[in-house]
Amino acid sequence: MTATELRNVIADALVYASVPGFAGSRADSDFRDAIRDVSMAELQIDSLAGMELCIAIELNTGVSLAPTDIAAMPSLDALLRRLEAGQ
Amino acid sequence: MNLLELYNSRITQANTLNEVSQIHIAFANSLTPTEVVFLHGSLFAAGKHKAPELRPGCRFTLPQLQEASRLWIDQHRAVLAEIGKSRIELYRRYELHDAVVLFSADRKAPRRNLVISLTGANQRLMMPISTYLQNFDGKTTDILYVRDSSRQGYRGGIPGLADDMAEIGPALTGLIDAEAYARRVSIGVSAGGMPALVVALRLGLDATLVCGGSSPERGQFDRDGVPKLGDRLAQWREAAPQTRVILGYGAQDTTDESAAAEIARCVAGAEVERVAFEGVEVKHNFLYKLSEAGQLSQFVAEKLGLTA
Repeated sequence: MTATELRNVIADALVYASVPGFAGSRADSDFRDAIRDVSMAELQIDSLAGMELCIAIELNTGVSLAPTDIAAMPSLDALLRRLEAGQ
Repeated sequence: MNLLELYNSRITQANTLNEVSQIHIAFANSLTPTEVVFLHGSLFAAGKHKAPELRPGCRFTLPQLQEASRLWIDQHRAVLAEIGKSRIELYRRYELHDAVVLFSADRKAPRRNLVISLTGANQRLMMPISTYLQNFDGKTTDILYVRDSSRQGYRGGIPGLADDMAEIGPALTGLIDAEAYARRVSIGVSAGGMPALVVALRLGLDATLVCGGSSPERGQFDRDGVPKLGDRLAQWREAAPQTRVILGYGAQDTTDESAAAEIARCVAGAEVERVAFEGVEVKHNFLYKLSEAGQLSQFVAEKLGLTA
């Protein structure tokens, strides 16, 4: 997958996980378009959303992450780099 | 097949720990409080529990599965205890439709209160359904759990039930005799907030609690050929002036705060309710914060006028 495709996989996963306020937000479009990084602190990823995020990412990339892995990452760009390395 | 056998049969289909999580989420969206207690008591009980056969080639070990399962069921049991009741509410599950489940202690003898509960996009009410149910009194209150299986925020209604958000309420009355209840109210969380309000106004319910609902002024509800939702809300409000409308938001969620104010401008007499805890950040999931604090039962009973 290209970086652009992975960005969309991550953003789609955040929408699937119902992270509050993300779908259709500025953070959503900025991250998809690689305009800026989005810190995890900006996102309300609770334990359930963390699980659903991991499920959606695994389904679409084959990369298995645990919610604790994602919680330890500072930003979505860090998640992107982890997925690029894991492919 | 008992619950434990069902659990094991699902687990044996999993290839990864994330797939195990997916199974746990599905269970969390359907288990009643008594089922959580049963599963908690039997899942790791010596002599009762036979570990499931793992799928050949699966990417986790039995100890990893057991750790994940134990963590999951222990957490569920713990949050039930946080509510602070000495008894477990004896709800049973009655599937009325793919997207609609009645939780009642006795379906043949409807209780006094009906709480129509519309989930957010993740098919939950900010907490596992068992936790939500434990916050109500099963002797007096039935819960109608409603979800949008398309995860589209009910904008197109509910697949197989209603084609428009405005038709959800009338469609629900085809599944359950709402008139049999003395008090009828709705609760909606997140993406379920706006449809809970619409259901309440369309059916003339006694009250509704909208938790972190979306604003009708931000375009996501606009559909070609249909009047703006804000205008429709004002019209429905005129036909249902008696419905108490409470628009709740977490004190530290500025997006939800402004959305509540925008909804209030469309619904005459709506009350905006700020939920705050000293020293605790309260955002979109304030209903769960109330449950964790052991205050959700009292909060909904007071705000919605549920009677014993």
